[in-house]
Amino acid sequence: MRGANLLFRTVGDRELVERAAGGDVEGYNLLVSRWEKKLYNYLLRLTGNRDDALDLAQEAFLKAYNNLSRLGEADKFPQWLFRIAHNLACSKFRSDGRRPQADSESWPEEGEDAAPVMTGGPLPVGSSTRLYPLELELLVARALEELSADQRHAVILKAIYGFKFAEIAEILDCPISTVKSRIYAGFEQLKRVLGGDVGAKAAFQK
Amino acid sequence: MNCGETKQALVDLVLDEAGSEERKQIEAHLAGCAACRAELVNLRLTRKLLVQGLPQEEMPQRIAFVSGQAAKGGLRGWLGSRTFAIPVGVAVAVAVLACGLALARARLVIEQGRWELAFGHAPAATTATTKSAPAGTSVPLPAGLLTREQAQQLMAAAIRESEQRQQAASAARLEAALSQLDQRQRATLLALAGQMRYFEATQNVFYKEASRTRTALELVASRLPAEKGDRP
Repeated sequence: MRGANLLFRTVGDRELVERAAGGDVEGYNLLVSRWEKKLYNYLLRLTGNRDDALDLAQEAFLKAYNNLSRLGEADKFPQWLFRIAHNLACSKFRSDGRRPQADSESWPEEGEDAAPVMTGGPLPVGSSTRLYPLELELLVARALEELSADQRHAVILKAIYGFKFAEIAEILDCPISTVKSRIYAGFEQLKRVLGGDVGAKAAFQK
Repeated sequence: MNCGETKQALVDLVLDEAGSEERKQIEAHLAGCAACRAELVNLRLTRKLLVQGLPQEEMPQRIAFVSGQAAKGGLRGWLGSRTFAIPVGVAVAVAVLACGLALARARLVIEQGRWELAFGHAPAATTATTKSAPAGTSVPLPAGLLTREQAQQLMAAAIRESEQRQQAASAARLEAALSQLDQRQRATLLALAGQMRYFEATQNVFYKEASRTRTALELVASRLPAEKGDRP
């Protein structure tokens, strides 16, 4: 920056990671602001609880900061961060002795009416040709619930967060072939629910 | 590429994992296969709905760090290094000056003779007196002794001046540090205000979310007339 001119310049994750590794906390905070929402939402899917998701996200960012020196390649920060968060979430549930509750959805527990609707039989879409956004959310939540947890995590990391197969393998700590088979199987199953008439209805209602 | 092979490749395509070579092969196959084109539409729809059906929520609170590491390299570190640097700098300067003084003095005594000799003011006897005479002697002072005193006065003045300059410089630095501290405090307050606004915004989002959920659940419930009676 020269004089009073402000220059617009895109700063890559890589640069921020390097700044943070050199002890620049503001640089790290920028990095945090880029990833916090994604990480929070991923943890929300895993835990189904906003408080847990926020706590775990903070913990993951702190752990990542303290171990930045161990991150060999700065480009790998996202998958490395998600891996830390994923492991933290898993070990939290191990230590709490509880399973992640219906981790495909994130409804507040206090809605008493929510539970029966959520756990009922196939979601009735009714004779109406319209599918409301919230009905879609329920439908997707239902469809994801039917996958195994491993399939669900892999599919979400792929479809929502756009990680590559190899990156997902790093996050979930398993071979790429395993990731692929989980995603293919999971996506095939989702297609049966979302790709059919119901899906078409949701997609073209607007 | 036959339909069986294409099926998996289509998933790769929809999930952005297909390489350019794979893409070409898929396109070639799709051109002549209506079933696989329909499959691709289905897969695209699945992904689209999956993304739409899993909206990203705002966070209840943003994450930012001001860790011990931050304090080390940040405000406290900055202040610490500067304020302690000033006394140390002054001490070093004074020490150097003192050394220089001692050296200069010694040389002055040694050079005094030469100087006097050069100007012929003091004979050899006076030089001896100079060396033995205490500073407070009431005997009319020879030129050599006067010069020495003058030199000492000059040096004292120089030291005083230098100390004043040092003090002024350190005061200026302290001033600068304080104003920077003010700026940082202001920045912190601004950030805090920003977070408050953010917090309010997320509260609103959650409120809207909750009412939206209630409406939708009522809607779903209203579409289930048969099951309605079964629920408590």
